[in-house]
Amino acid sequence: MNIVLLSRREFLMATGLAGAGLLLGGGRRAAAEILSSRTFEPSVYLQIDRVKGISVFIPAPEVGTNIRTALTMALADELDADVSTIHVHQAPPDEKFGHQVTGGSRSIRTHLTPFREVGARAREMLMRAAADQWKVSPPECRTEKGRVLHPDGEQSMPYLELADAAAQLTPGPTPSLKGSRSFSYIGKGMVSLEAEEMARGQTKFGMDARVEGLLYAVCVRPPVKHAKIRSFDAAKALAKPGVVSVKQIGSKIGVFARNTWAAMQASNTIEVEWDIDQQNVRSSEAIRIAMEEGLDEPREVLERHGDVEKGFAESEVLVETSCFVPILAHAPMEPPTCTAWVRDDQAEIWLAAQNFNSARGDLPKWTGLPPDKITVHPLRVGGGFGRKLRLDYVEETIQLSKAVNAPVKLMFTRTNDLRHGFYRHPMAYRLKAGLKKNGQPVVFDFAIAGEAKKQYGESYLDLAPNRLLRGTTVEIPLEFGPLRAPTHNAKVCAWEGFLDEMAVHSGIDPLTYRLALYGDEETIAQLGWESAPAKRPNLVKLLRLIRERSAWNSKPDVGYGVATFEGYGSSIALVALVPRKESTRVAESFFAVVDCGRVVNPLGAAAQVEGGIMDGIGAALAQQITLKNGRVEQTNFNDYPLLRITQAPTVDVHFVLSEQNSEGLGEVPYPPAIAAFCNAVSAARGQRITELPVLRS
Amino acid sequence: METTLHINGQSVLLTDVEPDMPLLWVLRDMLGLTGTKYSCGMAICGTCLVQVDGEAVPSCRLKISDLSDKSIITIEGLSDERLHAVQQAWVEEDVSQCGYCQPGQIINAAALLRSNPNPTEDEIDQAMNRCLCRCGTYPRIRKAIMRAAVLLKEGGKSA
Repeated sequence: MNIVLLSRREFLMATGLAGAGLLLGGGRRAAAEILSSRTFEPSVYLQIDRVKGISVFIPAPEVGTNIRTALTMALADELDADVSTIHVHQAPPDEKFGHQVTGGSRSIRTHLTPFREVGARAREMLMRAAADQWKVSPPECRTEKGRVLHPDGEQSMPYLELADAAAQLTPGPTPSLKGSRSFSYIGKGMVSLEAEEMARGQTKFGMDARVEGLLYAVCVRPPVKHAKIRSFDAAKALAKPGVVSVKQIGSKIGVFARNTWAAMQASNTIEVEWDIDQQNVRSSEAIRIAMEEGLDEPREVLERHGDVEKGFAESEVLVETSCFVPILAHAPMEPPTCTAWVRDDQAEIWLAAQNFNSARGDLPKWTGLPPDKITVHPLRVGGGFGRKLRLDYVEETIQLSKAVNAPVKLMFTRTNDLRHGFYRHPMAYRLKAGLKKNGQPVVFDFAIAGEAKKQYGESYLDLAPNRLLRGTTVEIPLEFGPLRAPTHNAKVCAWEGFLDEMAVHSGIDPLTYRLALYGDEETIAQLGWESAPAKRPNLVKLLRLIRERSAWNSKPDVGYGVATFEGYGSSIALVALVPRKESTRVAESFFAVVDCGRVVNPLGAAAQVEGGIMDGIGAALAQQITLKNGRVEQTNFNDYPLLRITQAPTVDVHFVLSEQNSEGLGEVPYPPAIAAFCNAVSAARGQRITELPVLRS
Repeated sequence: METTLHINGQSVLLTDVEPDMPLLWVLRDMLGLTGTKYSCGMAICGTCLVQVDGEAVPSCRLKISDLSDKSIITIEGLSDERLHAVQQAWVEEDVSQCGYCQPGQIINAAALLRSNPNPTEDEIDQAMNRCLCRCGTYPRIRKAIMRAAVLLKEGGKSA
């Protein structure tokens, strides 16, 4: 294949580095300036160099949570430097960078304080370096936007010129961090430092790695779990122009081509005779029946407390409801992809993944090379949602590169992605309660089927003094893994629907009912309850706020749904408004009130909440993975639909002002968004949603 | 096959290329214009949109044999030093989360504003409905397009 440029000017492909924006990766180097000055490196996360400027190294992979901007803001705040002058780098997998996983909503919780401390320590040392030169006492100096100011109010020195001197100082104790009144960045909304680069299409994502001599690979994978290859015919594939080779690697077949199109087309023509274990040839209907049987006769007692029989004997109102949530796939817009070039003595990996911690050990294992022979180029991740915590696609790329002794880019087609993932486990719930006539819970009797784990429901279980939780694990021939807010994303919907049912059966407004459940004294007195089922003052505060902000139950033509969630250190209350008359915009608006401690970047944080809500509605509305004869049926966004803009509500996000530690956020809105949406649909329809996705019930 | 494509104001002669190869892969694999992304491969998600003679079209199903004499603009060609008004609005509204689908969204929004400089929110929704975003940036996309319409009236850059 030849490319001839007809124009005299260089083709636009060379403009990848044009424009301003964030200087990710190499950064700009004033190459002409040759100086022997030392780089000031007070931490692995920060370098200040006279020539190269200020560089920060972000340990957690960027998958769209805007962690690179938030941590740079935090460090710059304590350092007293201008954010726009800082070069932001993604740190490659290395133990020296500490925790390197974007998952569990941990990035800010783990790294915020260390990043602030690094900034403060560096600033203190730069001030000391300046004071030494001026022969003044360090505390008399001040700083301003990247400069140390002399006590005389006239002289000043830029940090960059002090780097060499600061590098020779011994670090002192970490100075105390700024109070919130002195913040210049923290708490103030900042547009992503990468916004312009992204808008220009210049950002390099996992799929964008380019290497000389690159081969593109698409794999044919086992259609049923654990299926093995008996034989295959690749004649048609090999006859396709652009196809270089076809190789079996374990239970997969890799098709290598000179371009992605040829690899994708050729992979569809390979005929495979699979050796399939009949035990894994199961269909969704049969699995559902097994789950229902699991509810009828739960195999394990997961929790027992108080006297359940006596509790029901003393109850005046009985409530029973059920909920089924299906298998979900992650479906990030960028399917799993990786590029690797593994040679005998060295390897290069272009890595877009959520989990660099596991990469540290896995890359040497998979390449067979020591860590110092492996170069990793971390790239931006085009969405993860938990899928890219698993590095199966990285291992596969390494195997493929070894098999052909060439650089290889592995491409998952969308169908590969939907059919060969690590899914959210389906769950079935049967929830029974005995209540007093005034609605106060006396006893819960719950059965769950799918994964029988104690973690399903602990925070809700405590709401009744007598309770029994039983469960059954049902075998399903798929791989399962974490998806945004694992376990919570199933249980919260079931439980919040159940709370609504209890409220309805007691003739109490669902939001008021929750206020009583969580210990609001005024509501408890009004309802005549003996005591508070639980003390959750934060939820009470959020519920009161959201009742006001959403003008709860004020519009007659709308179904209102409320849900709360506490997890990842944070608390949230959501209200959904769903029109009673069927509408393309499935929810007209959503309100969110969030307490996640101190918010570093309100603009980025609000994006997480808005996105979590959209994601939750999308999941609740129409998403499900089904099996037929052991094979996933869904193929693409036509049968696994994401929410579209015409369906999307407006969103009002409010963060409670807080001086407390910054807590998790990325996963927090997703479970209650599913729940609030289902509760609002149930209210709009006048009938409880007991089965997801909504569009099939 | 041999064909000439006109991309971002440049002419490119491709030799020895399959006539049924979609433009997406020519852009990404052959020309290194990786701003245009793959996501579904069946023209239902809008991630790979490019402008062909001013209209936003999914490049994953666009055979290059049908494209000679057409003017193709990719995300890289939408702006020069100065951002296109839509890109400027995207920055100001901080739309992108993971960012992967955004080139397609921006290409589509720019085409919308060219044919309808004053879209209502409903018209924005209808026009943008072809573009999926798994991160859920839709509320900010609406705001950004409203803002871009204002920027264009104030003399902002159009394609």
